[in-house]
Amino acid sequence: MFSYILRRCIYAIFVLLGVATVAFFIARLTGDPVAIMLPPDATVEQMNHLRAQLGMDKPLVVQYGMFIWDLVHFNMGESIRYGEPTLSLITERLPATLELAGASLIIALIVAIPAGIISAIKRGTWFDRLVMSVVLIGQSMPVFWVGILLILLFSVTWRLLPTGGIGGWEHLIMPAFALGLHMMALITRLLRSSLIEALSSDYIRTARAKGLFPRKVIGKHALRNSLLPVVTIVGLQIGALLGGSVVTEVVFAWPGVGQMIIQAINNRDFALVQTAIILLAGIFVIINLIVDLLYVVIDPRIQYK
Amino acid sequence: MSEPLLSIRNLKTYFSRKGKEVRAVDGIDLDVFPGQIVCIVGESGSGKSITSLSVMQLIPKPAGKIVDGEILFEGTDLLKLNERQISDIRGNEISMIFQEPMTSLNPVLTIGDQISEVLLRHRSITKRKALERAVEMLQFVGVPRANEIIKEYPHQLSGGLRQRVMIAMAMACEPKLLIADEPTTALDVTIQAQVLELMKKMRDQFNSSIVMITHDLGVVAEIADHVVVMYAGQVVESADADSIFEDTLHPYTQALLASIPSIEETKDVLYSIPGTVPDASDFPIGCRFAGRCEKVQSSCLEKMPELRVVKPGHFVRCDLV
Ligand SMILES: Nc1ncnc2c1ncn2[C@@H]1O[C@H](COP(=O)(O)OP(=O)(O)O)[C@@H](O)[C@H]1O
Ligand SMILES: [Mg+2]
Repeated sequence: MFSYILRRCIYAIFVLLGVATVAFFIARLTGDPVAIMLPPDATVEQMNHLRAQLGMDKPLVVQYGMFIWDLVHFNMGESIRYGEPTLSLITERLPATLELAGASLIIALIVAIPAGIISAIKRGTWFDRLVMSVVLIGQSMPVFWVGILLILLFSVTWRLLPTGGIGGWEHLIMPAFALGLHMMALITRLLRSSLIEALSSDYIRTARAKGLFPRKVIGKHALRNSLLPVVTIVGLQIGALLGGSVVTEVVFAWPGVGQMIIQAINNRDFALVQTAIILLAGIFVIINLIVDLLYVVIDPRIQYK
Repeated sequence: MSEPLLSIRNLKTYFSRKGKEVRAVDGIDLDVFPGQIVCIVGESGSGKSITSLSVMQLIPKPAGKIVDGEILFEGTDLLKLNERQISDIRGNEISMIFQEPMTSLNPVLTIGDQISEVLLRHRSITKRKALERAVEMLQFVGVPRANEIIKEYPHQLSGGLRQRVMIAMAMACEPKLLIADEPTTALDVTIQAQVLELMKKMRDQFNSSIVMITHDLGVVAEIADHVVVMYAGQVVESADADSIFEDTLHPYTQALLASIPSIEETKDVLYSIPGTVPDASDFPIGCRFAGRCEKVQSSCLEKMPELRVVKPGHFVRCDLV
């Protein structure tokens, strides 16, 4: 078990190096930061001077080498915009993003688990059909669109909730719902289908032949077996959740990492973009490891060596 | 003789498949007396499993439905009970074990948990007492290291051990009736013999009645007191075990017996009954075995023979006998 975790960590380092490489080159495709840092009437000398200061006069390969060298020494560089270490800029913003992502995950689970269970048990009924239609709609609406729709309804028309910004639950509820809607729909559908499959299996027939109450047959025997695919998808979807948080934060003016990434891209603040991406990828890798370890708890047939 | 423990009268269980009516069980009569081992034998698809699932009322819904008949258990019609009442009987007074020991146990729960939960459901005892009883039952069915096995999961056990666990689970509440649906089919021969011995031991210990479903006449010869031969959803012959083997009357039973491989005569080709069981959604009007019967006559195709008494306690559904 321990050696498995160790191997996964080594593997994670390579993943993160890969992510860093992609982030490095993609960031540079956005254009020349010097052009927007200096006034439009700056001379070529002034531009070259700044470029040299930023280390961007060297060939790309050399720049890449220096970037990786710094990275393995945990030196993430400074923001060219704010002149501060990128790591502290991002960790300042990280709690807001985690709050949003966490809240949307919780909302998704609170709605999806009962909805999935009830539609599996009552499959074919009007309730099931209603849930499945809502799921279909939920899965086909892009997050920014849901966000704008919510703002129009709850903030502009009914004036119940603030349009954006951070604060109490009234600020959190709309962006968390918008961000979580996709996951909510996905988990409902997945839990429903895997529970239906579990309910038709032989061990459920055995459980019923023992005279167990339906509550035990479903809650104890079927649910645990149908949770595995759900956990897998939740783990994978956390990546999508972090990605979706970028859009959601912009729509709801939520001061998190996502919003900062967008600003950094617009400013061509390469170091800041890179650090943010590497950090988010790191979170994703850790969550996936936790999910894989959760399997062992849920399914005794799975063992890591 | 005493009153029957279980008495099935004119049981009909139909399925609807693609708008067609599938007559899986089509008017079965069956009696099981206390302490008796009754074997239901017949080819695959003859309705044996659906008969047993009907008794437990575990027919897959909504496709399947018991449309007619009575299932009297100690005089009460099980078909008149509500879900709560029937669940009080399941696992307590009537238990069932299934063919597939590999998939019939829950893969994510420990053996101890799965055995003790049936006791916790039907007896008012503590969790600890239930686990102790689970260990006792496992020792009784011959599972080694019972104290450790209760903490293990089904995938850690062999097929034979799992079937012993199933038996321990089914017998935990000392049921009056045990229904075993091909419990040995998935096991190899030596394990099969041990499991059959175990079933007899169960009957002797708890004075339980056993309904044993099988397509293997070797199993029947080994264990049965009484034999019911099923074909295409009906009973075609019913008699005590000796009469079935010594005084076989129905052409289908004769054909089944002819297809057992025997040790003395080494035949080059194993005899098997030609043709297949008719489709349960499209039975012929006459005798359902007529299409495969060597003795078929034109009258067989016109009228369905009744199940009638030929000798005391010997019933046959064939007009030629
Ligand atoms: N879930 C089901 N849906 C439709 N037909 C079924 C179902 N289960 C069994 N049957 C039909 O019922 C008949 C009897 O099946 P079964 O009792 O399983 O036979 P046996 O146990 O004797 O092999 C078969 O013709 C089969 O096709
Ligand atoms: Mg069967």
